[in-house]
Amino acid sequence: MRIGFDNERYLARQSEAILQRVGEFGDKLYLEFGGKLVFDYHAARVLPGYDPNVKMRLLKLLKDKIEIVFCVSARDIERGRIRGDFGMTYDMATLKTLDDLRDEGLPVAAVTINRFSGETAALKLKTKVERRGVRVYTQGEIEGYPNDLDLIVSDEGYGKNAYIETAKPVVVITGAGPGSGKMATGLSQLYHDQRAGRQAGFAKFETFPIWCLAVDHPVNLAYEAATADLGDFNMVDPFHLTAYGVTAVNYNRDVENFPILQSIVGRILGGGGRMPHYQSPTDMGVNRAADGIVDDGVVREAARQEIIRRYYRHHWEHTVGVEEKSSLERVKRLLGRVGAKPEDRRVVPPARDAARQAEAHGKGHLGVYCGAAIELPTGAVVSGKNSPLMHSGSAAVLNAIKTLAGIPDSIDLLPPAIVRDLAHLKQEALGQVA
Amino acid sequence: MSELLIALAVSANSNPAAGAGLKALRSLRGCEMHMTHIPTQGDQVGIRRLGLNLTTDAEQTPGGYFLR
Repeated sequence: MRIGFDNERYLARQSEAILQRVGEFGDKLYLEFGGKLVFDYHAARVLPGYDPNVKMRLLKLLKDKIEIVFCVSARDIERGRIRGDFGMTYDMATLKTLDDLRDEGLPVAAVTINRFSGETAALKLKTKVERRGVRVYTQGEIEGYPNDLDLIVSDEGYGKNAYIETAKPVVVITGAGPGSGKMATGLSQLYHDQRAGRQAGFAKFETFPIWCLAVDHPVNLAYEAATADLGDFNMVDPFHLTAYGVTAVNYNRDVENFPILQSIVGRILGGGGRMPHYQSPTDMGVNRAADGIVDDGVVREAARQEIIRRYYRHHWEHTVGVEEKSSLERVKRLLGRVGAKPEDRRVVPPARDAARQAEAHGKGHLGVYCGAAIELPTGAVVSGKNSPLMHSGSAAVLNAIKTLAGIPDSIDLLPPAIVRDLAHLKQEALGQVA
Repeated sequence: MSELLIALAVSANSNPAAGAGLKALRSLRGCEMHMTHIPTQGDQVGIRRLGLNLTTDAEQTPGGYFLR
């Protein structure tokens, strides 16, 4: 694999940027940590070389100066929402993340269950987390949010929330998925700090979109493809352009929410209705991912390939009825913008060829001819087709490991009798349709 | 898919080819894969656990709408 991203370089620049931001605010920085804390495979696919756990490494580098507040929405817990990347419900995902953080030796100050209104499932999670020795806060929804500024920034608004005690200069606010209340938690803390005369600030850490790459850079377009179901899109940050004359890229929701955020923070800090430190949503970010990119050509091609992958993913989800046509259409347009077509994915034509060959040679099963193909680390592509005994995917995996291990085609990895017995077990004993 | 991999692991001790194949499985992590048809739930789990990045043309198999 050709490398396009240097983790060490990125870690050095990113940790430096965060510490510099703390210095600008005095006593404390609340850092909203977006995206996935662990196993960020989107980033790893788009930025070849990116360590999917680099954010954990970043937190470990800053270990002595940080503690973590983990947010989860009571509503997500109650309705049993599934977190896609973990394949588990939000309460389970919360416990898993707490385990991951503990295993890495990273200090968790508290868990806060937001948008809480007495849900039983949330109370159960509270008990479980408390038994592990972690403090849990529950915070209700603020009435009139986000329009009634007088109420929000008052003792009846943020003032009603409990203050989460922390000791370190950087408080990383992360959470289970979007809508977990990270921003509200940070602003509520800021309100209490201000009332108590403590100097505190707020910043955001998100990898995508990468603000200093062009709005139509494939890496930023791949982020749009990843969030096509939400309809997010990248745009030039108009506040940044006006304030500094510099073109920076942000995503639409951050740009749309900026004026209201600016009013809230301005009111909390008493800066005459404006945020004293920030002129734009781009200003709020501390993203240095661009510093880690060492080969633009490599990341461009990787991002194009990611958009193709997203196209197929959306097409699949649309076919089975879980995704709207509009998201698929969005990804199709993105394909056009990077000048790619689905067949530019190297494994696609060989998989289709395998299905055609299965038909031509009378293979397949029950009149259905399936093909599968895998690209090996060497760049070679191997394929497999279905038969009465095996699905095409399994055939491709077996052919792939045979090639990787240098085993001649004439030697069977598994004796045909075993493969037959397995097929018999599945079809006859377990009653599965092949 | 999983049952084939388990069979491979069981045969590894007596069959050197199966042993070599088993060791090679790790190299598939992060590799690209495409299928013409929607895989069964079982195959999807197996492919995800192997770390393959799977796409599909999403043609339906005669298993119908309920894919196991």
